[in-house]
Amino acid sequence: MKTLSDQEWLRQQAALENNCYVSVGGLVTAVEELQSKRVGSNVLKSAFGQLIRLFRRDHRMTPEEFAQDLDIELGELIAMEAADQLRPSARTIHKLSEKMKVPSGKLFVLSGLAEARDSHIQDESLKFAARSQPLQALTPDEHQILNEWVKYLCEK
Amino acid sequence: MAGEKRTMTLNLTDPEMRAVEDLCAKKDVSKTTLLRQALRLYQLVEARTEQGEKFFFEDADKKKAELMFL
Amino acid sequence: MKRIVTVLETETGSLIEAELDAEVTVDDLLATQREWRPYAIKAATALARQGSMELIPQHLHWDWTSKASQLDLLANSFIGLRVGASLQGIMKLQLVGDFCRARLPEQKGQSLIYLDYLESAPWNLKPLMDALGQQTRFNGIGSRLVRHAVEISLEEGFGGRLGLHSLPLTEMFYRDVCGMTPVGRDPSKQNLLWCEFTKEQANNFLAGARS
Repeated sequence: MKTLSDQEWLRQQAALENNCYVSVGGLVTAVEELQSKRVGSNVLKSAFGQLIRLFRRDHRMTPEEFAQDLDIELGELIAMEAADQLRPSARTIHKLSEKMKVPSGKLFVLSGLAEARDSHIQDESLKFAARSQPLQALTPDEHQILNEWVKYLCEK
Repeated sequence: MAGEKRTMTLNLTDPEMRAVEDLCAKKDVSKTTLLRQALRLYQLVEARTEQGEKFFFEDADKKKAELMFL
Repeated sequence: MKRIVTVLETETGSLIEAELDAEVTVDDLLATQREWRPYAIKAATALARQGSMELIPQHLHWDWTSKASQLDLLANSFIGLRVGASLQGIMKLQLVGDFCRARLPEQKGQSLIYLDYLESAPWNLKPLMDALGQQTRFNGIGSRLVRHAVEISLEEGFGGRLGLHSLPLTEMFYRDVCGMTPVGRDPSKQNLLWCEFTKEQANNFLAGARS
């Protein structure tokens, strides 16, 4: 069997491939599925931002101090707390996971970097986001809510 | 795939070595490949278990039996 | 791991340098969302206006960032194909797991690499660029990535064996251009067509042998 040189091989393949689609991966079956995923992801992101903000305040840190402590960009921290469209980097997720003692897998889901495999986290996120209040210092109730949420995320 | 590799010595019992050899023959792979596959599978199952998933076998009648992964 | 290869630049007909990169990052995945998706949707809209609904690609709404949490697992290998700093193609290989077993009778149960996801940047796909009245930028992206998947299968000790579930619009590429065997539709995976390389077929593909 004659073996083509790499150049010959590529030219042959490019000519054959020219009018083809090449993608491999699952079918996206319905636009409605995508739309419900987008609504769900906003709830998760809101809970993610709230979690970070309350944790930081609970530890009496300004955003600058927290960003420095985590060794991440201040802009990224502010975007996360504001539930911005920006998705954090995997490195940031790991830093948060270590600091907050929450499994990185759960944070990947909350931040929108991974898909939730069940709806429970979405339901709990909605409850958490609704119950937590944007006050300067955490009240004892907020402190308890934060602890319950962290406890839930740490559960298997 | 990561370029640089390091060597590790592995001590196995006779039954363990036989299991390695049998699986290598069945899968048509080397011992190194087999053990690297085992490591990848272990890490994958561990990661998904940590995320709250469970690892099941399913028999022909579609009955699920959970595998407790240590 | 980085490897230098070539791809075809359509405008000039020249072979130009590209890089296969096994260190795909979350930022790369974000870049595909930011740069590829809007382009693909614009092209698909043009196809719809022209009445060519059957040519609208089935990967239109993929989101590579959803795979970010899988980047660090040994079971997976994410490979990017870059020209300069720009990502032109990306694929995810699975080295162990659900679909990493051969189904063809002559190699049933033997280990193979599963090609889980593969995508070329939309500006490299002629059906999309024709709809926009534009020329493709590069050609051979799909073949380069499949070739690299076969090379990894050889390096890993799987003899070049490769398996994948083809999308309906890409069956022709994997069956006729690459030379894989279409084994059958898989009800566990949206009834997509399972295609497989034997060792011999993989070898023929690398050699450029056409039957």
